[in-house]
Amino acid sequence: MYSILIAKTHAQLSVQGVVKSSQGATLPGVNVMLKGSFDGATTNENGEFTFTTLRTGEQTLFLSFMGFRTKEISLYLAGDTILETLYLREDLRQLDAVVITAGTFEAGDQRKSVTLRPLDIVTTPSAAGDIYGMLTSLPGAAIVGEDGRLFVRGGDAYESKTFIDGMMVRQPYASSIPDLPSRGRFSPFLFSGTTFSTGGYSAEYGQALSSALLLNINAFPEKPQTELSFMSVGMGVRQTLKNENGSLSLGAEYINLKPYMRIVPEKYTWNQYPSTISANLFGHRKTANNGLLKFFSNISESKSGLVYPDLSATPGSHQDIFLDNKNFYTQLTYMQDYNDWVLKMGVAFGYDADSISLERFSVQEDYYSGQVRMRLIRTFSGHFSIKAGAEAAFTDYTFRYQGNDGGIDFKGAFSEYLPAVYVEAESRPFHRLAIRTGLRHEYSSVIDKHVTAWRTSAAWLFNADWQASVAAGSFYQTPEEDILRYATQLHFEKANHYIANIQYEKQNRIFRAEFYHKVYSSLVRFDEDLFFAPASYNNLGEGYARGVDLFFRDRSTFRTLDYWISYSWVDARRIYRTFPEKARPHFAPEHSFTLVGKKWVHALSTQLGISVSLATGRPYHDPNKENFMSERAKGYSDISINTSHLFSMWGQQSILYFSASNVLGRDIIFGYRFYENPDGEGNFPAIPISPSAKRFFLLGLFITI
Amino acid sequence: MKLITIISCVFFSLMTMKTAKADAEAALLGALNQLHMAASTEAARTAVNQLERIAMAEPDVWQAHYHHAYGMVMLSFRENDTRLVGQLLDKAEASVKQAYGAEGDPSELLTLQAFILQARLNADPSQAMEYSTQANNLLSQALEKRADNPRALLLMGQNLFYTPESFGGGKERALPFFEKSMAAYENNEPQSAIDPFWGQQAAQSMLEQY
Repeated sequence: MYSILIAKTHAQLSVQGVVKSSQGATLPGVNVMLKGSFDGATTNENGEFTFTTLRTGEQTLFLSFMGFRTKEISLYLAGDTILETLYLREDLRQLDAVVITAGTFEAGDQRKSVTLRPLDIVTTPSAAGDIYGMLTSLPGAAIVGEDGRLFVRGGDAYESKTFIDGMMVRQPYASSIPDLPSRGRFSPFLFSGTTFSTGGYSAEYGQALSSALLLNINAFPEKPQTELSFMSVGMGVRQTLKNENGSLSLGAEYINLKPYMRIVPEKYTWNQYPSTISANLFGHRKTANNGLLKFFSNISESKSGLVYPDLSATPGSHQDIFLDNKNFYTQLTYMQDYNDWVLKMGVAFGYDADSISLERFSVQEDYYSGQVRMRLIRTFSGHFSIKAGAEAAFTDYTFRYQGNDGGIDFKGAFSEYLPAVYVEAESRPFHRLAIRTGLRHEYSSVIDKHVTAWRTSAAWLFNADWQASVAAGSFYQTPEEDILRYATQLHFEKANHYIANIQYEKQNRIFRAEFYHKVYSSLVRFDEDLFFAPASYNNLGEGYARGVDLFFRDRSTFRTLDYWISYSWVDARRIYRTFPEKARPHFAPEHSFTLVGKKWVHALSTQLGISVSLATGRPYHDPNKENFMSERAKGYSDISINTSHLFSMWGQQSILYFSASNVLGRDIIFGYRFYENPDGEGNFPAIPISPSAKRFFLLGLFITI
Repeated sequence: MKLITIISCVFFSLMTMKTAKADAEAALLGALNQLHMAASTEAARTAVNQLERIAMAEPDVWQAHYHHAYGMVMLSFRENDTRLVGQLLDKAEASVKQAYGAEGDPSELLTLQAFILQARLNADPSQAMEYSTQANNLLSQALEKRADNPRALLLMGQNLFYTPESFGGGKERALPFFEKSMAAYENNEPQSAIDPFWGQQAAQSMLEQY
């Protein structure tokens, strides 16, 4: 009897079977084993496995395969065993949880699957070191080269707002004069995280009809250092201090275009070459209980003066224009992480004074703004969270128009108190699905109106590579200062967004296609000739903007080459402000295309970049023609290059940077302006709107000590 | 008669237990040899799966978790898809955690963590600065624990070799590390047959570049 027992315990049993995915595909490479022993096998290309074991009786079969949930099966082994087909389910928990991407381009360190990294933005050739210039290489932001601000998806510049660490920055652009495009006030190197939202964004952000640019200060330097920058346009210095609990960074910069403009021929005569002096201070401090305090402060003054055609005088005449801008902005934010709560509070203050002097009149604008925000996020069981917030913004605006011949002296001013509350819920009922819904209520004291906006968005993960996302909502904005200084019996301007996108991501390649439809209503209209009369203002303007944005980025086909392609098609028409009829506005070119490529050459320690931008001609109004906005300027084309060379100078880390725009030297014309008075033959002469110089060169040396 | 049955069964199981540890060692070395000689990715995966089985069956043997993690890293070098590489290396890090739990050698485990970071860098060169800085930290700690860890010296050398000179790296700065690493490989006598032993060939081929 026991001889049979011994014979059995010495005998090898075989176990075999087939493993398939829950979709029915055979799975090669699966690890099949008997728990507690080394016995097992790997499935072959047909998903089949066979192994032998000395074990008998009750056993547990364990299957493990990356990307799939592990499986345990109870077995009773008494002899050679052939198992029924075993099925494994895909494990989407191993992938990043599905993320709502409709209307969003994110570049930051938080998420693993990002479309752009902060450094990508900084090294884009066509940008010449400006954040907003960089954004035009993404779909959705139109190239309006003479202006430089953000025009998103057929929307005007005032419809896009910039937020730093959640606080709205009222004047993110340095002031500009005709044909010298504005640039961002803040250097892109200050920011570590960027989210460029072209629509459908969270209820947390209001007062922006088209888009929100969310920037996060990089207040976490790796080590204390001194940075020196010498550029063909100016120089700067920055000192960063750091200890265990915090850091502090102080920088100053002086920009003066005189040396550069004396060498490179310019279109205009400059009475005062553009110059800016600025300083900023920022830092962070960790506090008890997982708290984080962040501080940012910036002060600057800019001056410029040029001789520009006087469009309101007889054709051919010119006038001197001087611009002086002073700006101060400071903010303090505090974030605290409790177990399931995240609290964020912030306070900000800004002052901006713009002085424009022309021969016959001068304009002075003073802007005081303050803001307080609070936000609370509570997470329940990891799948559901609620965000609620309250904020209040204060604005005091004064406008003074003075005729130099002692004529008109007009003063307009208003104060606005803008409180808002919002609540938003985000849920991931399954790993494949995320939903977000919110409501936002705002009140503006200057127009004395309340408004409630709704926002909703969702994302669905089809499988590891494909994802779809939708977003919709209503967006409100109080009319701009240049309207409120004359009339306040107005309503909020409104835009409804409807967005859907589909995204594919695999092997370091990403493809996105996004469709959108924006419906504008309640846009302010007024009579151009009666701009000073409050009665000529109303909210009867409306319009739409719809289109498709495509984006493709490849970082794997060619080893050291990283490139992306973006294409936008926009169909937009509106009647607003002084438009006499519905027309395509001047900031909505029909087709836009950008190709950006970067290559790192390790042997030379150099990065090379090229960007190619093309766009169909933008609309402009020719008073000599009957129809409004019927003309189209010639198409836009630009090829820009840049290069950065890393080397060591006197033992210090240095970067030599060079960029050139419009290398082919094309004549770029954005549109035309017309004299208000006809010439001898009754025609209104045109002057082309073009860059102040054919090409822009930037040479810089950056040293880190 | 019943007693003899019981005694022979007990004797049999005692014998089995004593040879169990030897079995684990033999199995580990066998699987590692298979991995080393694997021509195809399928063969490599089979070897790594065996390492996984051993680690699951013998959770207290830190070297089993170590070699499983090492095997995952070697598999990741054969993979092109960044997301798959990330998953493999996440799994490798989980094995390293288990090795810590089994009271593994801190110097070897810190070095292995740095090796995982290098594999991440290999798949995603755009994060080179971040990964190599973190790896540098881990390797410094590994060398503090044991200054003549040949693998820590090798990886430190490789890190410096590929970092641009102006950022504190370069061929010249890497050389002493490769030389010390080779010397350590030649002089080192591992305490156990299953302790980490890879890397001598890599150190040799780095030195040949000078």
